Amino acid sequence: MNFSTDRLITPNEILADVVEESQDYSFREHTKGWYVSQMQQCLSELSFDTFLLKLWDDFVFPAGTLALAMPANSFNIRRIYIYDGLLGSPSTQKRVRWKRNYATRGAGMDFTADNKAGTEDDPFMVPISQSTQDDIYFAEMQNGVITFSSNCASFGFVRLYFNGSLAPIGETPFVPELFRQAVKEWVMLQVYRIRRNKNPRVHRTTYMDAYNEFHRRFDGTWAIAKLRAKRIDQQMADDVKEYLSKMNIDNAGA
Amino acid sequence: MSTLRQLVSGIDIQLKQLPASSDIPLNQLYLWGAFFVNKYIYLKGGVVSTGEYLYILPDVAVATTLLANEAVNLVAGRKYSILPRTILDFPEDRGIEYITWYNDLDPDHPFYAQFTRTTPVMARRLYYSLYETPSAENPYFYRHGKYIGYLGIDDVIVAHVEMGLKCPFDPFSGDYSIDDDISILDEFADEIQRSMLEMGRFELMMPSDRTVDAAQTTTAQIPTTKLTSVNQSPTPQPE
Repeated sequence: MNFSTDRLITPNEILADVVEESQDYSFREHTKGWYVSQMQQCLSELSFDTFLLKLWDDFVFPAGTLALAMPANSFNIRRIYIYDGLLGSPSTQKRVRWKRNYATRGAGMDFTADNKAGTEDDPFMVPISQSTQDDIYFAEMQNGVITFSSNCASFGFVRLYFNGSLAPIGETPFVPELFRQAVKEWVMLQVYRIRRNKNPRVHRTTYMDAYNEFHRRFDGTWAIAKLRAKRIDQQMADDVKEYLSKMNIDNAGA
Repeated sequence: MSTLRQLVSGIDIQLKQLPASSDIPLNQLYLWGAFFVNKYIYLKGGVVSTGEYLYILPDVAVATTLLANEAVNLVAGRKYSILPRTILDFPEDRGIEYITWYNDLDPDHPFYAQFTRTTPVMARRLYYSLYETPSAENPYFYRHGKYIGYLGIDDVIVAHVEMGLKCPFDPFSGDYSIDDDISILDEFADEIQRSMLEMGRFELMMPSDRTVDAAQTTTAQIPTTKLTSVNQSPTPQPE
């Protein structure tokens, strides 16, 4: 995601606005930690909705179990590579493909999968050949664990690309300036919601107004935040357009 | 501000009023005046943001009990302070405007921390959230009677805290005297006067109601004949 870390908004700056709006100067209505927790939850939801934070990291290949726990703060694996060389310095690499319902209990154990060599008697699925199966490096992700095929164990390291949350639970939620208004209004919406729960007759209309402003379909605060998260990779978008418009002229030998 | 002794002695004076010697002592009027002044301070302070009644006490001692003491409602090992002054009992303990402490034990990382108000029951949920768990930088206080208990500073040395308290007007034992400017809201002056006059009138009325002088022993005449108009000659009743 493209934003400068020099333009991150601190929780206190958000608080300065939120407390002014809620008039909760002495934190009697909610504690300061509660407000900060709402900011964290807002950034998490935004991350889940837009996959805006892309991360990668290196790991030693789990040769014994063939199973690697997904990194902390990850929620969506985007790419898996295995490589040789040094940790963080790949010399040779292979891309690991996804295989449906692949499961194994570890090195030296066989596996089950929807498509497996040696199941030619299946009346509905023509299985992969043994040689192709041996040549492909594959894995399956389930319940926070990535399970690799046994041939992956010939490589020493794994590099994962994944999505993460902007603010993991417990860490200080620094807010990209792009989402400042969204986070502020999210927190206020939670304040109004609790007020409405305590006294619906007095606070219901305030909550409904805030809800509508925040969740309006196309130009609500949340919709705009999601739109921003999706459109700010401008170079990527421009380059993809350029690649596609080139139509492989060079490769065609024209 | 008021004590049970003050309240009861006031009633005692009132009950002893006799018509022949009705006299409300000046001290009693001062007490009433203080009551009503505080009543309107409370009413005003509940709706107006004012620092008029704010007292800042920069060095309120913090103590720790080693043994639990049920008699004074203290938990062993927990830091606490004794409220140095009577406070106005606004909802949510808003009579305690703020409590802070300054941590300069680590010169590289000094900080002010403001205590957040909680109650012993509400405090339980604080420990469920990583962001709200009491700590030296995120401490909490709760009030029980005249004590202020602290959460989050158990493991650090805190000798004093600064308190901002909203206190009632107390000309009898506090910093005020009866000759001080009480800055009592001129907008309430007529209310206070009227309240005191009504109180005095009621007090002077009350003894006559209580008097049993046995002067009125006759009972009202009960009509035994049919009531008729004065313009109508009475009709003799058959014997």
